[in-house]
Amino acid sequence: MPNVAQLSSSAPSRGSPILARRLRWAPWVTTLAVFVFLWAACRWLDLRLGRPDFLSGYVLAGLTTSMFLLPLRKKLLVLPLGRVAHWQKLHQYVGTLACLVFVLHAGWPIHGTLEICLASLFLLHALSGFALWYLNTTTPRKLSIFGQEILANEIPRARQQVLEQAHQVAMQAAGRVESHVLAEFYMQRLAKFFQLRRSLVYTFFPNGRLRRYFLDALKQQDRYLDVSGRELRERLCELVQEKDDLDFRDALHKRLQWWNISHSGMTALFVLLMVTHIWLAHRFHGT
Amino acid sequence: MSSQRSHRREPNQYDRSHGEWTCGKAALGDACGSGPNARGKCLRNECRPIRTAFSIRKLVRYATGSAGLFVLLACLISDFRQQTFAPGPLTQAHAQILQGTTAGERCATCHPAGRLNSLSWFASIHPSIEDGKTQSQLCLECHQRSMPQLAHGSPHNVDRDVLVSLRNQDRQLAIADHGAGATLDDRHSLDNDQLACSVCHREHHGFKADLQFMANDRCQSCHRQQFASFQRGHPDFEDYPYRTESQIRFSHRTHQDKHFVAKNESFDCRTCHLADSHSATGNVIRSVPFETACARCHQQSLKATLFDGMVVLQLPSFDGEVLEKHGLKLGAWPTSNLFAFEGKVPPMMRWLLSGDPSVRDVLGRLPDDVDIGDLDWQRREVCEDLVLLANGIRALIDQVGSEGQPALLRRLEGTPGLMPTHKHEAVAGIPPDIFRRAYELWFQPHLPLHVSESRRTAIAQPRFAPPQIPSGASESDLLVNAEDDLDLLTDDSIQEDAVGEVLQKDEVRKQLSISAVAQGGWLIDESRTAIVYIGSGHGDGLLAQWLTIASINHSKDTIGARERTKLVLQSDSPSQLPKVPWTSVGQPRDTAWHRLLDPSIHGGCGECHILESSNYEPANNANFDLWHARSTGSGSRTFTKFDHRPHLLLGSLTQCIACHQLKNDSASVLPASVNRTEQMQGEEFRQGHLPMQSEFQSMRKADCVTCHRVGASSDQCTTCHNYHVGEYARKRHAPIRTAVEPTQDQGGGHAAIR
Amino acid sequence: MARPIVAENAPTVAVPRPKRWDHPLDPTLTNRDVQWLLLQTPFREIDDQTFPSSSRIKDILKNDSRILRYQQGDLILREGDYGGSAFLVLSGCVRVILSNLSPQGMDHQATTRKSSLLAKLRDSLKRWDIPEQIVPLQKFGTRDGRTAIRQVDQRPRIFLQDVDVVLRSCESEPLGPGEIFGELAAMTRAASHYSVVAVEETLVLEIRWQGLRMLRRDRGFRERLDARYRSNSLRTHLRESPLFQHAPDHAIQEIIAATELVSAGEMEWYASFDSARSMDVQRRIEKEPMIAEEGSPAGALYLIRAGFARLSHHQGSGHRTVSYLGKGQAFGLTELAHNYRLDTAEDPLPFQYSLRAIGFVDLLKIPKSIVYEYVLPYVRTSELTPLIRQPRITSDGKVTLINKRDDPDTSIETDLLEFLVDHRLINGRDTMVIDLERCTRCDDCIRACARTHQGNPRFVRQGVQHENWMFAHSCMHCADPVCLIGCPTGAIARDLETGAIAIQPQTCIGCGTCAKSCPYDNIVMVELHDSKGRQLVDAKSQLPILQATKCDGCRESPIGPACVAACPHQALYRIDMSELRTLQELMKRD
Repeated sequence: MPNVAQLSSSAPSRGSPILARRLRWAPWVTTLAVFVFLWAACRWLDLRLGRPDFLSGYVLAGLTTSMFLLPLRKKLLVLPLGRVAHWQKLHQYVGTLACLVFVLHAGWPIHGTLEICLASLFLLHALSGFALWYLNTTTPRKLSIFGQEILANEIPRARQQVLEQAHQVAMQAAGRVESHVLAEFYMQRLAKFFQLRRSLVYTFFPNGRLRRYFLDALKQQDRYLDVSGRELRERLCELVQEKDDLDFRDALHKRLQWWNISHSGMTALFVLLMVTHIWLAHRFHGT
Repeated sequence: MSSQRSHRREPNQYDRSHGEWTCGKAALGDACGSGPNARGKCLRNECRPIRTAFSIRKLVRYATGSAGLFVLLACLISDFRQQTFAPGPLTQAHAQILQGTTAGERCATCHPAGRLNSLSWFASIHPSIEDGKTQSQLCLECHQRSMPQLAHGSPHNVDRDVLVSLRNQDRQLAIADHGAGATLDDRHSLDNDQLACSVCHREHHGFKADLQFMANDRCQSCHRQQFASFQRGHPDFEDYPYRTESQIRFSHRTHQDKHFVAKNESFDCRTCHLADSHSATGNVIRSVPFETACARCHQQSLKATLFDGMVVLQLPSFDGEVLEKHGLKLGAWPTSNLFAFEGKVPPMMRWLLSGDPSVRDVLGRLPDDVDIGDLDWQRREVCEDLVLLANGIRALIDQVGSEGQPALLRRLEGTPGLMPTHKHEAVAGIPPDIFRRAYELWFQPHLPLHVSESRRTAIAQPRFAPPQIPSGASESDLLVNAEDDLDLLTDDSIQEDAVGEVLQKDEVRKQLSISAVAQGGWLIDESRTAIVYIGSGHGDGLLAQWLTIASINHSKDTIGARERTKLVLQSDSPSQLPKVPWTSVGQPRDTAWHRLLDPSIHGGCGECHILESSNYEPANNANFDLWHARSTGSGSRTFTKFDHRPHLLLGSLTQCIACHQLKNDSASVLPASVNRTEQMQGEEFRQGHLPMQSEFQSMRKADCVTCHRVGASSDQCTTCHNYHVGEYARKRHAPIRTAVEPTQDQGGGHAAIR
Repeated sequence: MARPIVAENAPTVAVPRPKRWDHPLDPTLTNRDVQWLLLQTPFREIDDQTFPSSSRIKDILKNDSRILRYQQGDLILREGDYGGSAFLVLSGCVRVILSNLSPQGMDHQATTRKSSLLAKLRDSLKRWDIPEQIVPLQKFGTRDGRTAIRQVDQRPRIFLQDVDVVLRSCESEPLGPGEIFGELAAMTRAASHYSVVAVEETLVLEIRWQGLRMLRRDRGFRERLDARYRSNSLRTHLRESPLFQHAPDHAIQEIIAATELVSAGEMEWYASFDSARSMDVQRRIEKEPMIAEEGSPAGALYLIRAGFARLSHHQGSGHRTVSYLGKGQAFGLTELAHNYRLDTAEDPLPFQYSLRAIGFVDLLKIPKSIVYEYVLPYVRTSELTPLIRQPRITSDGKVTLINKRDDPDTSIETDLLEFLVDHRLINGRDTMVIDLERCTRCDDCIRACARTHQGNPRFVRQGVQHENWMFAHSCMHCADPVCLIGCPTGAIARDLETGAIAIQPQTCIGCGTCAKSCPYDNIVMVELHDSKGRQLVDAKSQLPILQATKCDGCRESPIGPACVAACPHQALYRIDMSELRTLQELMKRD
């Protein structure tokens, strides 16, 4: 039954501190503990003339297979199996563990064509996984500094609008002698910039170099401009910034997509090689 | 707020970029509300839909997956599969071996699975189902000559029972037998009898990989006594390396102190123990061959012992009249042996006769060293026995003469605990026609003597006459022989002829004296009516075998060793005689056989060789070897190994005595195994003081540690210890005749003494 | 209030000022009809003089009412209906079916049918080729065989297939000519507690709430309505509130007698919503009708029955929003409880805050004396709000500034509060909130939503933002669901079990009323396709056949909203805005 006090106008009290924050280190410790235990087991087996490779190998296979629990969970969405977010966390920790076990299993150097392919694929997945982990935590902040959200597939349209506005500004400038310089500048340099499609390098390492360059260059024009011309210049600067922001957002989105593709694009091949490796190991290990 | 409103997208339609395809006009901002269908077709045919990143990801996945599958299958079927699937380059040796092989059979050389074609690989995941061979067996197909085959699956190639017993027995014993901390303390290690070669020898780890590497803690995982390193914790040596008993009675002490001094020669180890005494770092000979070391002094005495030969077979002499008086018929018998009851049954003959059932019990009634002249031949049954004996002897000579060695073998059948190899070697080189000749000579129906003689000489000439008359034949000999014959001859009518014959006979006999076969061989000794074998000197195979057989039967006797040696001393109590027919040690001292066996006789075999096969066991008597320095099988491999050569490079160790020092107490002048024969010279034996250890002082771990420690020379377990121990696959009847010690193998002291 | 100054030289154009009743409810209503209506039962008694000359009763009837004809079995009012009109039986007979009838039986539009897990799984894994594919035709039109749609006077009507069976199966009471029903729902924009079905050919006068309010000017009419309200639902309403849990019946009687029904604000707030939103905050707050002002003596207890009210106090020259009150919450209880408990020596505290109507609010006003006499005595002291230690406004009206730290009202930032209020997000019962500092824009939420809705997304990952919090264009399942008003078929309605607002595709005729009236643009009209992907167009007009779609809160799914479950970064939440606490915890979380 609700309390009478809750009826009244006084504001509700603070919520209790979240338990998750306290236990943040717990999964890491668990991961490490599991790995240490496995390492000890392998060493024990090795000393007793056993076959530690099979132990670590199968554990590794199991871990890598369990990586597919996340996509599976996403597929079987309607089943009451807990939030995807939790599976994501699990995915991250198990993935880290898998990397450790991989080092334990493969060692160095790695011989054999098949094994080298397999290992490099594993490393690719691990690398992209960690990259995604990092980007997933950092990108949102970068994206959210731009204020209003724009859907990724609407950025081209927004870009187009900016281009048109810039063009109009340039036309206005061209109409008056005092600001003709601005129009020329636009025709010579800015037009290209507004139509520019950014390179792959920019996609992976977005930066504000061009933005700064053009803003400075526009300021340089001030001495040829009268008051109204400067207003137009100001407007152009805004547009330049807007265009650059759009490119920046686009790059952030694309970067995430690229890493996504490299993380989950090769899984089929990886599983294929893994199965082959396991099967060969069974066929050809000495008995 | 207003700014947000102005930016805000009017959601008059959903953003449909979630699927695999999105509207082609979405980029321009006028995407249709419905979007393309799942196959990427615009429902209104207005735009060309574009793939979303989501579906590009999917596309890449399928593309790479199928491409990989294709390549993989291609490799499986093609001959590239070795290059593709080999998990790494082989080590140098294996790589070189497989150089010539075709790609097809490269895997199959070591992997059973590789024998199938790539498609039937999919048959099953479990290896070695085809033709039942495991990979380890394939390894051993090449390595069995150098690898112990026995129970290769168990730790150290030692049977589980042995390991368990090792584990259970007292640690001291374990150390004494197998080195310190050898007791296994891990059930896993005991029960695991499926250890594959590949567990330790890991291939495909590169050209230069060390296949034999064994981590120290791998040893210590099973071995109970754990320690940090060789320097710290490794137990000290106990009478290393003199644990293995030598079968040669050789005392460095006495030779150094007495004999060499007497001959005033310098006693230097290297003169005997270095293959070439000039280079300090030559191969070290552990068991020195007779020729190099002993021959100079011991050859002569040995010759002297063997000079008048071994009586293989001798006819006793009977008194024909007495026999007739008893109404017994002797049958054909040389007249020369018909004058009186005389003679004994020599051991060899007794042994051969024992193969004849009709005679065996007679022999039983007839004690070894009793002269039949001493028997009470007035009694009839004694004479019957003697007649049986005579028939037996005649049959023996007849059979061997007519059938040859098969007859001998047949007679050896009965001998218990005798391996076929021994029998065969025992009869090897026995010439049947000697027996045939003897038979003709002694048992043919009595022709006129000269005729028979003349025929005999006619035949005998080429065979028995030496190329030239030996210088040793002097006048005195002639006289002696003449007198003998004169004594033998009875004065009857045909004396002149007889004399002429006799002279002729004397001449022949003179040529047939022992000296005729002084270098060894067979001879019919007329004077003793015996077949005699003269040994050819050291390493005579026939003698060796007969003496081996003697000692085997010897040790099969139930009586303990010390009692046996008593028998050797006073064997005058027939009741205690062993049941077995061959009792050479039962002979009185004067037989040649006994002289060979008797350790106290200078120049006999027994002087240096310990002929009591204390370590004889039926189980391994195929490898049983009395004559070589060590009775351990020539293919055995022990836990500890040592290589002299690297050590001799060190200036401080060039002197052997740096490590091998004689003990000071005179008690230890003799190797351990000598203790059982009490009648050696040397006071300590009389006082019953029996030295158990070697005459050398044990090495000290401290000496080794000066070099073998962390940071200096290697102190790995495997530096001094073998993992694989036990018998080699090689048969031991082809022992290594070279005297050079096998490299790096201290235990395998299988050098022969010849 | 500053009026915008028009520059002299600025060009202007003169137009007639838009007046009320420019758009009557039913333009076809003739004066003869009105005349006839004036002769009918309730209007006969009404004294026309009580009304101002600008709006005579005949004008009210002409503009704010219309005559509807129902055939036997037609549903006039549905339980849970969210109407804006009251109904007056002119001729014929209707039966009021009371709410104990099961929703299924009445075939309430938005009843949850939890389909089996397996079926949902199959649907979610199925590859939906055609977007916005129409539900198979055999489902269309008939629903459970109980009710169907038919056209009466060119208007779609839902009717009971076999009214007799239904009436036999449940208790119902008849209403004859002159009886009025649905007025309570109309006045307070509450969901109707009962359904009304015509049992014979019936004429009904529909009066929209604006007209109804004006008719209330007539004393007799008003008392009639209030009497009906008090007798019917006020008692139950009071009983529901914890304040009156332990009050004895006679006390309740007194309270009912003394309770005053107050309603403030404009009922069609959503119409002027956008223009209001673009207004400056201070002006907007001042424009909001004041219900009780801070500093004025605490003379009564206000219980909010519907709508929202802003709790604010003077801050400098403006107003600072402290909180907002929703349905069931009380204003003035703290002050009254304080005054009630303190000894007589002290002077009673005035209202600490002022209460303003946000949009439309409907309250119960209980005088202080009644509260002291019949309410507070029956409330456990432990349950009462604590005494006010530091009054903002003392009894002598002196305002003391309270430093932020120990101000209990700083639990949630003012600007956020005002943001929520300004965008009427407080209305949300199940609002989708996205933390933009966590969202990687992976669109997994949209993918999940599409997979649980036959391959069609049901929300747009965009919307108003406050700092890093985005309130996406997804149905908030409002406490005050204005979208429900005017749905001709009742296809859109609140699910009585889950409280979610849902649209029944079988019933929706694509008129677009809801989409237009939703102030948050969270309802999207989509064009339908058949199984071959061909667009459906109206046979006559060749215009595309539309259907209203929106988030249904995944009420059929066993795991609740798929978007929340699918978000890999815990960036997406569904929040009940009436529970400020959850919002605070969410904001505090990092």
